[in-house]
Amino acid sequence: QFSLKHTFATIKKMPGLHCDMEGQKTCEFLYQAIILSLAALGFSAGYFLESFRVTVYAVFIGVGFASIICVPDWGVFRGKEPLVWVPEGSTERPKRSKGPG
Amino acid sequence: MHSWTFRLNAIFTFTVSVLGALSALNILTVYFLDPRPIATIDNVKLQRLPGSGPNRPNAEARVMFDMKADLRPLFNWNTKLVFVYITAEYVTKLNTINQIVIWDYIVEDVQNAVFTVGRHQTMLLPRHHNEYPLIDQGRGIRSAAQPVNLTFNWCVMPIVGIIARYKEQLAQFPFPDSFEKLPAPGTHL
Repeated sequence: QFSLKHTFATIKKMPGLHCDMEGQKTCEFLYQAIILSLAALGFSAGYFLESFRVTVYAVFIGVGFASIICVPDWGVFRGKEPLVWVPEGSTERPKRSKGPG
Repeated sequence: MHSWTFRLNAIFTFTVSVLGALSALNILTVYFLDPRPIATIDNVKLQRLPGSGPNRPNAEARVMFDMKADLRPLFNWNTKLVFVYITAEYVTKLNTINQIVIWDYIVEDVQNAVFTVGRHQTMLLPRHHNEYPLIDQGRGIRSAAQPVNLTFNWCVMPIVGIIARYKEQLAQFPFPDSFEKLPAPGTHL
């Protein structure tokens, strides 16, 4: 049947779409670095070419690049072991054994 | 950062902040320049409007002039377009300030920023160019004490920032005191 709970359970079982843990910090750093460096490059290029259009296009290129690298779940960001989910229907909080949840 | 939607949203908001910061930096590099265009107007001539007559309630005329303008200093990387217009300004008993736009032009590119209008005009202005008749409220312009001033106004519209408007008075001409003294349209001026 099609319930929200069933949908979430199915998504959790799919290997490619759910969250990654240890690589989140790397991921955030990566997209910020890509966009900021292309923004700086675009700003100087636009200043010398006298065109703000160049700057904005450079930022957009950076966004495209960062999206390709950071948005889909490539598995690079994940750690070695799969995540341990609390079993369905359980109401107790698990003890924290790994880093930030 | 735990799901792709979260990451997409984070990238999007970060991009908007970056673009805002870049726009602020853009304004900062341009704000302290104070560019002025160079323009001259001379050889101002009046002509009757087709269809006007001596019994019209408003004094009307067509103003023709020679103008040379160089707007290149106004174009920097924060300029979207420059709007120039010429107003005829004078004082009458009915109104203390009269400003009538008689000519305007939109310049979008620095290539079109140098142009000539009038006798020495070599080519038509590319786009967005208008001429309007000088139509007074009543006929007070005929007995105005001072001659009519032609003022060159320019309006710089930036990509990011505040629209700025400036003006500079360039020429003067007297308005004849009766309808018959205006040359008819089609006469050689």
